[in-house]
Amino acid sequence: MAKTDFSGFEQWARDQLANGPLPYEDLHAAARLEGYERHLSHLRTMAANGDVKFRLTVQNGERQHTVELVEPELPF
Amino acid sequence: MAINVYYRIADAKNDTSTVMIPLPSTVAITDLNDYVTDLAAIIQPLVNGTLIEAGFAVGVSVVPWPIAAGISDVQEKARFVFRTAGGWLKSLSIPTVLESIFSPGSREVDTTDPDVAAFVTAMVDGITVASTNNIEASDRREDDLTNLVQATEAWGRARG
Repeated sequence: MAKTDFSGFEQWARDQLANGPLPYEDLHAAARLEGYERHLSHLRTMAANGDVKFRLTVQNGERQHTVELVEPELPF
Repeated sequence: MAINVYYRIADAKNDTSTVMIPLPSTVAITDLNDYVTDLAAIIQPLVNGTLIEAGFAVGVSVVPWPIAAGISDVQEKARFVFRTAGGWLKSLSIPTVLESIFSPGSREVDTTDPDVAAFVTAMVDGITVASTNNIEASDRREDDLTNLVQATEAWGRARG
């Protein structure tokens, strides 16, 4: 079975998250536009590697599910 | 809401049945461990099966869900299998799942779906509750769930 190359997706995800946490729903919508929807499951691997972090809160029944970079890259 | 003390008892065929005993919600949580242990000793002489699990469940008033859809079926389940930090597997099944959470033409749950992804995060990473404590799920050994191994359709029998 051919291996999927996630390097492009990883860079794309880092770019998306460079300015701070994003709602997962927003990331999902952006991934659909870029053809990365099926790659989103790779975020779990990135989380396991300590690259990103998922955060989930529920306030007044409203879910807030965000993804953030653990160590945002410095702009220089 | 009442606190339910439960005992899951298995027979020689490994079929199980659960005894539920409600207690008033005014019972102190700190007394429940002793109560469950003491009552287990009271029940044991009455049965020839074995005790699989005992514990208590505290009812919580949640916002009511919509009424069950006409096509809902508790036998239609999605089975999630997680790996724990210690390498154990923990599976759980969600009944009456929506057909739409499965990838088209597949028995695989679409784990990229935002509703599914939120559930997986709740299980693996936890939920940060109002106190700002992060509550993470575990298996029966209290071993932290660390990653999702599999999520598939599991049409099975109903469970009480």
